[in-house]
Amino acid sequence: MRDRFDLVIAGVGGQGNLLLSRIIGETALRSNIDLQISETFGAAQRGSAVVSHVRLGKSYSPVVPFGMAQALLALEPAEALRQSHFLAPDGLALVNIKPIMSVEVLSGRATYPSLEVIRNLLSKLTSDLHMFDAQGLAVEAGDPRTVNLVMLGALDACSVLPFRTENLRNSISSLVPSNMIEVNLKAFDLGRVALLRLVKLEPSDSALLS
Amino acid sequence: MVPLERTLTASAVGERALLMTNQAIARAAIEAGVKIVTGYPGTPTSEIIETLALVADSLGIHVEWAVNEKVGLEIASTAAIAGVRGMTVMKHVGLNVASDILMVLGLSGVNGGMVIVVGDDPGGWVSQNEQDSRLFARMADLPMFEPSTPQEALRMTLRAFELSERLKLPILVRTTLKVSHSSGIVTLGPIAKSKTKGEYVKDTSRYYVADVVAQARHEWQHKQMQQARAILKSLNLNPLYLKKSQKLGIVASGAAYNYAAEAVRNLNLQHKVALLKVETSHPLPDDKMKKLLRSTKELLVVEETEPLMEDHLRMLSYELPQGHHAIIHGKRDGALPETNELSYEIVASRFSRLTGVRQRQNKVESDARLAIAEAVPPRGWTLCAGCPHIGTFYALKMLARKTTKGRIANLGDIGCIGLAALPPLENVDSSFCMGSSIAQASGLAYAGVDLPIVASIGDSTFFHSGITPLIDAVVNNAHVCILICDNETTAMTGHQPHPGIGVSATGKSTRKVEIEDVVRAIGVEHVETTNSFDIIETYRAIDRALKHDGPSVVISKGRCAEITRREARKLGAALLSFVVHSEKCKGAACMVCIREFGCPAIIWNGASGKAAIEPSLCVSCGLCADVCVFRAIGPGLSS
Repeated sequence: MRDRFDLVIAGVGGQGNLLLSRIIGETALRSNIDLQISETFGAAQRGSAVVSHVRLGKSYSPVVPFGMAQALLALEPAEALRQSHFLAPDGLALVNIKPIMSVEVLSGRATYPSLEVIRNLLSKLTSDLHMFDAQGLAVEAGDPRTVNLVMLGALDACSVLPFRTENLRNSISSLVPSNMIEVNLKAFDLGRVALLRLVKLEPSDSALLS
Repeated sequence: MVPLERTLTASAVGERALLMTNQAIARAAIEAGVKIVTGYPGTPTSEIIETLALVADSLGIHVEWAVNEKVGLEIASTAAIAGVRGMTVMKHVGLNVASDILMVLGLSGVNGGMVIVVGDDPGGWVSQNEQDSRLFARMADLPMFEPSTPQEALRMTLRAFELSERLKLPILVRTTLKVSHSSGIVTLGPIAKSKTKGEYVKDTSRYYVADVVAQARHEWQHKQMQQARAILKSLNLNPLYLKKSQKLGIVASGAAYNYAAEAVRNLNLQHKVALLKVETSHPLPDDKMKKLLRSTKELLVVEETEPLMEDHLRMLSYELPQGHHAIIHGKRDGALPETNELSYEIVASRFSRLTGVRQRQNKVESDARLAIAEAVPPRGWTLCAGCPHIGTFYALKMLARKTTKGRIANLGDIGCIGLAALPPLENVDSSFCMGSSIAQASGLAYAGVDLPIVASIGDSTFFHSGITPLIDAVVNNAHVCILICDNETTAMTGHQPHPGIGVSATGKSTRKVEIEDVVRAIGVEHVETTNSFDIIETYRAIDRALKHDGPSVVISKGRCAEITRREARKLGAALLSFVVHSEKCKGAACMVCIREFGCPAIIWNGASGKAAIEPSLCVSCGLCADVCVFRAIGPGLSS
């Protein structure tokens, strides 16, 4: 790791965004890496935008400055756009392609951009963009709610986090309810494999594997 | 990994834990040996009580959700008068409610350590305003600490208990939304043993606060505050980083300090800029402020939200010889915005301008930014799928449309019901402060407003401050309909219990106060309880209530959909979804379920040109089946 690593996790209320920052945070704590987390969640209702900032290494503000995040992990494609101003130029962007429509979109008061539009817009910010069906993998793992763990697995596969996969897996096991450990670890592994495959298909990104 | 309960109760000194500021404050209270903790739910501080409730029984702490903040402060501070340590927790606007007793506590003083935690919301993201609680500390003349990080929150809260006991004055700890909801690594300290049994000692010279007692105690309070200044000075708080060569100084506190420190590092200003981190918002560190004023040419004050330190620095500068102090920049001269939350970006760009040091900016095409901003669909707040309030306010909307062409006055209140002001319901007119709707409705009635007048208030808000205005409405015979929307929880802040639930903060079964009993006891003659999930029944009940001459109450009861969802999940039960029978759906020609009703589970299928229901969101409340006059919506047979 460079001396610091800034990550922004974007999602929608109910997607388990806050669990991810907790898993990464606890792993950092155990690895003696300094960290700060800032969480922005509105009221308790579902469906509003939720964003977590995770800053590993010494920082003074828990909030990532605009354009400084080395990675953006988006559990929902429109939320990737919403938080994209935090991403550093050519930073790593991992995006789940399953949209969650907002009530404004559902009722016809706003339009949801197509995935192609989202891809085009994000690719203006970074060439290190990977969009994939994390939702499908979560279902494959056995629970659609594990989409967050699929995304974490994908992030881990990129080898940008300063800890070993095993340490992350240990944190997952200790932070999710005991009857959910297996399905969450499976989701994590499916996310890892999916990203590795995805990267293989895109030779320009093969540096990530080294 | 250590579960939160164990981290909270661990006596392992020096152990490190990842805690949110709110959790760190809870741990501090435990380390201080607190005996009584009260609070009222409100973002950003709700998690403090929730965290303490987890371990209240095992540690023998009385933890409660008080009916309101005033009651909460009265309970905890009087326990502190009896000599045990107390804490109360609220959001900034809660301190308005509690301010009556706050203003007296500095005169009576306390005996056990008493800490008041108040969470501000610069920007008013989840509140009616962005008021600055530091001004309350000044007005009540009580010491206030302001941490920037979870570790500081622990240290300062602990110190606040000790100092409070030493000075016999309650002490405030102020956080802001960004600080409250940030997490970091915290080193745990020892858990102190403190007094566990209170004693009551009658002392009218302290506790009968009026007239000559108030005058004498006011003098005493001023003496205590002089002592507070001396003690705080000796504690070496408020770190000042100052070198001779520095011409620019920064004064900052709380979250604003975090932005300032980050900007100093990122712009490499360590050698150019002096920095004073203010940790005691009241009393302010005059000596260090004067030193900085004398040593620099220019000072920038970075604070949220009012220019309190800035004005204080201006005042201090009058005590220095003219021309021998720095020029002060801040909100008064427009160097920083006067309103709203600050950010790293605002602070860094101001530093850059004052020092001439260019920001290392990551270039992003502004065209790309603009295109993204245009493409991002809004994702605003909304009532949840299956919310009982959707039924209640749809019924009211239809009733108003039928009887007065939609013209009614519907004064709203704090909480989820305020979201019925949003499209497509667009039904609630206003939102001011806790419990205001009822007296506001009376005000309109007495003013002779010639409209049906409704006050819409939630269950927890009714207990908090809806009862007194209801008494007023009864005594003065206000012709208003009070619609109490009882979703059986304090929903917006995260489902805390309230007096109408029958469950305590620690999850124990307790006496339940029935809203209908309260309303009847007050003397309301026309009272009806209706099912929020039955639109016709609710419509008729409100219609009858509005026709009643004098105050009437309709209690629209329906459980919060989030609780239904959570319980189903716990049981592992699948919630059946309602379905749209597309052959009966009139499609674009109708769209009542989407354009008027607006349950988020009802979606528009562009391909078929018909409505549909998203099964993952539907909780089978059945409201939509009543809304569709073509009977195109009904229960599905499988999920």
